[in-house]
Amino acid sequence: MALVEIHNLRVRFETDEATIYAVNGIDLMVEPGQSIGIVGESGSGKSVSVTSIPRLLPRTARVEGSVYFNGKDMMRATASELQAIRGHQIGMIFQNPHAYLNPTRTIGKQLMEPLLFHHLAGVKRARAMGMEMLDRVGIVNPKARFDNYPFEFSGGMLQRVLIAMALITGPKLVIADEPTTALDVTVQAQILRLLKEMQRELGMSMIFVTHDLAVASQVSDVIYVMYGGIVVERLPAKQLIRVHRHPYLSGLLASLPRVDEPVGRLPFIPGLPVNTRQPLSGCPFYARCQWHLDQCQSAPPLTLVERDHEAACWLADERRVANGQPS
Amino acid sequence: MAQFIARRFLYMILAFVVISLVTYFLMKAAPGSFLAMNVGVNGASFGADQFQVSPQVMQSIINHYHLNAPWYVQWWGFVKGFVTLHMGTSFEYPNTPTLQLIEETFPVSLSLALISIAVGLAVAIPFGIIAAVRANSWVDSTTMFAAMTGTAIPSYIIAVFLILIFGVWTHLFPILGYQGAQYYVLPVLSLAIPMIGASSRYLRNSLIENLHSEYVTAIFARGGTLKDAVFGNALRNSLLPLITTIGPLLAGLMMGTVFIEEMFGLPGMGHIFVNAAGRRDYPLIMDSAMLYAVVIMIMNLLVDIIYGVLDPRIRRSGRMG
Ligand SMILES: Nc1ncnc2c1ncn2[C@@H]1O[C@H](COP(=O)(O)OP(=O)(O)OP(=O)(O)O)[C@@H](O)[C@H]1O
Ligand SMILES: [Mg+2]
Repeated sequence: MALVEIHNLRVRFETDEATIYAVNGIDLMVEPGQSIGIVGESGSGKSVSVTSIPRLLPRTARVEGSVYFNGKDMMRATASELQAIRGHQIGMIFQNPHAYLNPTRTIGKQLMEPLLFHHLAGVKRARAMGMEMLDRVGIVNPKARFDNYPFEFSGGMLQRVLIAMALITGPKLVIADEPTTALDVTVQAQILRLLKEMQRELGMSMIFVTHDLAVASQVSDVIYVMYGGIVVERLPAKQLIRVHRHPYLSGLLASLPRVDEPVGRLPFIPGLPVNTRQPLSGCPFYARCQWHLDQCQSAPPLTLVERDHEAACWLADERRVANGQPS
Repeated sequence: MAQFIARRFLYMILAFVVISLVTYFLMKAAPGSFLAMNVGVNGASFGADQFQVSPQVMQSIINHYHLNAPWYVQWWGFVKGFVTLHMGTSFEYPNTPTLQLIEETFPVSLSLALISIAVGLAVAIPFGIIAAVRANSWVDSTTMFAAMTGTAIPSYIIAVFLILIFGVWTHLFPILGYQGAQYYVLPVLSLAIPMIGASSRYLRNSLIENLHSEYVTAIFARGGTLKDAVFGNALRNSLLPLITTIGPLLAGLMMGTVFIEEMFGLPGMGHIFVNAAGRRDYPLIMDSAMLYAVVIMIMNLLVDIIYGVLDPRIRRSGRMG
């Protein structure tokens, strides 16, 4: 049984001015111990998709489809059932650690919360476990750091704390939503290594969201490429460079910064991002795709192109595009 | 912290000088003087004993307060007297030293204002929490409507209502004079009710904002409940800015006490202040204005220090303001 099973997930936001179609029907599966990478440009619905697993979206979100976690139907779970899962079986790491920590509460108090909320330990034991965890994520002198406030930490250190917090209960799944985007490159590499190590060590599953294809292929077994609120391609991380099919992914890969270029530039594909204020019709990448056909006005389904590899593109299916280029 | 307090202290001295100067000139600019008024009313319509001041006493007053000297000598005389607590006597109460007058009446005014703030906060905080937790529900709208209505009505109108309801119709509380704690009930309510509205609304909005912030999402992600989010985290962060509103609030309340004391016949400083202004009792005007200014500034300083102690970002870095 898969640990996470998402089927036809759709998320809309009803705001005062407009309806925002953030996620337009995605399927996603995470096996126990597996690591999934989700890549895609800003606004493609990555965060919304993963936040709907522990059902943490704001009340304005209309969520449809099915989400199963560890066999539990998350769409029908009660508030207390969800609460019992969050922070215990699902740990979350966010992009901006400064924003996701209470500025007026000590690191230690916040770190102990998952244990205390779930009655997994008393305060004394939680304190000891917290220090141990800080030590494991590489915080020097955890005893002294325990009673520090978030503003007394650097961004990289805080992200370590957030990792410690997410893993302290030994969850089955950790969701990391762009955990390194706010950090500089060297710190980013350290955090990635730490996360990967901890994941292996604890045998957890991981969903790793990122803009960065290189990072995704480094930490995950399977990569989901999202665009316009759908999954346009799913493939094993090892194959990423070799056999990608969707023109969007090809575009991303082609625009990856080279070694001789200044680092930190994001992949750039000409054209505007998808308008999320309309329901999706047809292929979301249609307007920006240089190979689009009339056929693309109707949505191409995600179809198997080879073992473990799916793409949502009419051309990919007919094998007229190899590595994103028409043959 | 020490540096902060020192700097604030300098500002306070500066502000004090400015306030005393402004008060002095406004007072002098007002038409009429105690001496002229006294002559006009002497033994006639007022008939009050204090007003029948003999020419000798009058002359000694003029000498004591340098009333024929240039303005800066007069002004400095008032300030020096106040600061050194040698205020002497006023025109109106030549037999009671002003210091004694203040000692007898000012505690009434100050305690009235402080108790009103305490009561106001004690009601506003639960109101704000309930409204925020049930944001946009009928509980929220009802609470906030009540709060807004309270704010929109000035204290003295509320005082009239309270006097009618509790004093005249039900006789639950005394409405005039001061002979015990129960005499404080209606004055305190009159001052607290308008404040409850503003404060509970402030707390509600700030709590809602906190509850929508990312760190609260993170608390839910750790398995926390709404209760954990509010009481462990968000409430404290919303109360911090509420504390900063107490300083200005107190200034308003101190002024409010002036009316309220009159209405309920409380023997506070307000009564004396108003009379002093009406009768051009220069020393008393100066002394009471300077006293109110100093007290309000000290309260503001205290509030800021409390804020600094409660907010770790300021406490730890030692920087404020
Ligand atoms: N609470 C919300 N209310 C309204 N719209 C929202 C909300 N959260 C997300 N959206 C919209 O949903 C769409 C998808 O957002 P999402 O945050 O999932 O993107 P993302 O892929 O994570 O982007 P990024 O890489 O910038 O984090 C965007 O158009 C976004 O504006
Ligand atoms: Mg995101």
